[in-house]
Amino acid sequence: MIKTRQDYIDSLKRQHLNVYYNGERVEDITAHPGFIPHINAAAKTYELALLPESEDLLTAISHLTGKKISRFTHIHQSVDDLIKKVQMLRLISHETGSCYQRCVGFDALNATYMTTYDIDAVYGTNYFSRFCDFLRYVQEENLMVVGGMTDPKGDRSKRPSDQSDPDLFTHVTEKRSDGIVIRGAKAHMTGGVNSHEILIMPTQNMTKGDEAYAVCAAIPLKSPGITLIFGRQSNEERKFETGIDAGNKDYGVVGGEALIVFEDVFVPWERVFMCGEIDFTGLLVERFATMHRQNYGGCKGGVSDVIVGATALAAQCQGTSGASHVKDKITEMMHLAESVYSGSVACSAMGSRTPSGAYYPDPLLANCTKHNITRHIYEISRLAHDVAGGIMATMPFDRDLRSPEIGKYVEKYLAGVNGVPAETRMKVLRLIENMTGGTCLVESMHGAGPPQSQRVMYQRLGNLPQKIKMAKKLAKIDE
Amino acid sequence: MGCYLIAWNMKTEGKTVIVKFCGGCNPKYDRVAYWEEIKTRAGDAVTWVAADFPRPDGMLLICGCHSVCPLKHYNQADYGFFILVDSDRKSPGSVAGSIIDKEGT
Repeated sequence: MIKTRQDYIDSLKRQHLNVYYNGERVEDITAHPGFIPHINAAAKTYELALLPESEDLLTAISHLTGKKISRFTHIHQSVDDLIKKVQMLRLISHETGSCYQRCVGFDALNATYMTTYDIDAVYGTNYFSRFCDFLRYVQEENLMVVGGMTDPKGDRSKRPSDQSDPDLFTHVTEKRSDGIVIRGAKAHMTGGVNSHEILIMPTQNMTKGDEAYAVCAAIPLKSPGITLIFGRQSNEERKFETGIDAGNKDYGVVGGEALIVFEDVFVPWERVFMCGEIDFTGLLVERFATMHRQNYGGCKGGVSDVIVGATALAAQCQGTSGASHVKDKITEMMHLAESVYSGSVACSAMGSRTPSGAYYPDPLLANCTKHNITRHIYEISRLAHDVAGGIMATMPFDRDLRSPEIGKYVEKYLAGVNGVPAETRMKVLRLIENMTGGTCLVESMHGAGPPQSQRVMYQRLGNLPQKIKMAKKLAKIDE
Repeated sequence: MGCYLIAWNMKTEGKTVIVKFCGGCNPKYDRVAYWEEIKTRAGDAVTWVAADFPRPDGMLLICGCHSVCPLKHYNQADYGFFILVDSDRKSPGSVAGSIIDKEGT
């Protein structure tokens, strides 16, 4: 069982996944600078679970075994559990200032738990008990699971079965007496290279003819036929440096995403939780998406707290903290951060029990929460850039600061108010740069789905006819 | 930090008190530093024990804000005394004094 940070790192060393970084196979990801910050961030979820001052959020009691487990492997048993999830995410973000990746698998576990129960009730299948066996294993071993939803999708105007290349959506190529064979890929897989299992789910609602694409299954990432290709990030070359230019050297930028390719991967039946039930694909997707969108006010709210702190610190270093417009901008940043957090708490507080017994956040409010993330995080970042100043983007290298020839100039001209050396100012500005630019912003836009996917939910769940009725009543319009 | 509590089967001195924290999602003060100060002020008069210690004299629950989320999970009558901290308004010294002054079971 993985308990400690070291247990987790050792477990990754033992896996020898087929990982590629910048065109090269990586034998040991735990020793590679491209991955270390992301591994550190995920390891923090194990570390915090062992601390008395955070275990109340990081752990839960398994409803299957009665044992204390990582909350990231827990099935929500109450509204309180839903709220604790959000609180936990904010807490961890304070520690990492970056994505710690385990929420995706957490949401996939919960969505699959609820949906397998519902499939069995209609079709008399035994997916739910199979899934509970898998869940027990994940809880006992404290594994990190990738939530594998997004397919590459090719031509978005065509159904999966109409694509010129059938592999652009992950699908079943063969059904055997002992299991299935799958082929395809999952894109943007957060924490993919430093996880143990992937729980694949259909990427969208499937219709008649798409039965082969209606597949949900758990697959060890070390299975033959799996290749993981790590994605580029803005400023990623700074991970390979030893100085201050990385900004958040220990935990990096976002979660570390990978394209995970399945080349005829065998999955035994006991790990298959949906196979052809197209009428449940939409429900599984919606549940996963809702629970993942629930998160964002927690994790991004927590990351934003750090950005607010860094921005205020930059203002202090530069002597602008007393200016009324700077105070006002920092106040606005706090307002936006607390607003996104409020959304996550609200959708959790309005959660309800599903037939499986697991609890589920209010989907409309969860979508609204994520939709606000696509706006507010950009605005928080914009205000941080405004207060930090252009120097954040034009500063010299760390090596310039340390240069025997030109270091004196960097020291002299980058210094802040009296008593604040250039290095301090550069450190905080690099942190802001790291947390507010490039990949971070795109992650806020597209993580858990782009804004349009949330707007679709307003149309479906917003009950517009009732709102029109309210207006007609007050306006005294009878027809 | 994970090993600072005494296990139930170890010999103890002074009053036995369980300390528990809320999860700390957004604490309004440094809960751990606050408790470290209580621990210093209480000295040998209190032995801090793990949550499964049988029949402790009391319990100290340290929460980061007034929401006191974990409070609902504890039955205060199960403990000889139960002290809840939800802010740093009171000094750690006065909390330590309260613990020392409390009657145990």
